[in-house]
Amino acid sequence: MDLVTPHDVLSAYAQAEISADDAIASLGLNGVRDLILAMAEAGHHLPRPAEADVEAQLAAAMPLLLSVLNDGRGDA
Amino acid sequence: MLDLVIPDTGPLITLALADRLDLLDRFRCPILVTDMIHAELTRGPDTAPDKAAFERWYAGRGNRVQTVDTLYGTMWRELPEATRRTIKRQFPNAGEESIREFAARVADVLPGDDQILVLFEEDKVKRMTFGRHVHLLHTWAFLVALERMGVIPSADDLLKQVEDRGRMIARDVYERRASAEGGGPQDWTGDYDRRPA
Repeated sequence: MDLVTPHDVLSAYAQAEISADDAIASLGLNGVRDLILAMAEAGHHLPRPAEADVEAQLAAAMPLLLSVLNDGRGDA
Repeated sequence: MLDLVIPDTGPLITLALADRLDLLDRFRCPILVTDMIHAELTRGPDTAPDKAAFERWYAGRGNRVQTVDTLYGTMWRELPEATRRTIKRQFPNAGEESIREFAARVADVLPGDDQILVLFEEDKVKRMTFGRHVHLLHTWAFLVALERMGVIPSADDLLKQVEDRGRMIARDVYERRASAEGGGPQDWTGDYDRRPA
């Protein structure tokens, strides 16, 4: 994959084609905070995992989270 | 028992930018972060809103947030900022080793029958072993879970809020650079020759 310009790098990160580390290194940024700012400034959306991955993660995580959710009746 | 483990800075920066770190407080479980995350989130200018939000949240959580010290983090804190930048440029994936060490420590310190929920954004986290009963949850999936539990009205709106906030901060940064300190003239040529921070 040829990533020449900052736009190429940020687009690839937005599409989850490269990792945050790779984007940070390619752009010479100073961490995740700067990467989010660069993405926002360039008008890119933050990357999201694929729908199927999200559903698979939720299937396992939801029961666990619900079991410790503070619904206001217990002490947080 | 459930433990929430946060091995990379992404989830905390995302929630801090929206000033919604309180969403983590909705769950009655300990939270484990690595000392590298703590160092990363508390550096930078004091005006960074995510830094202020993190420090406020961290101080208010008492012993519910546990910072796991690592060899990497201990050495990292001793390095001058310039050296850290050089290392980051030379070894962009150095963070992976620190997470690997954190993962091994987590597997050691938590009881074997605990359920572990790993809140992450970095893909490299998927390659780590945190223990036996481990479930991975990307920040976006966490927001969707919050929406489905009725804790927040919309995951999509919250992420848009983060993006809008980032856009505003980026603009602030450029505007600060554009206004010369002390009213003197601004030398823009320095930016052309300066190596990326």
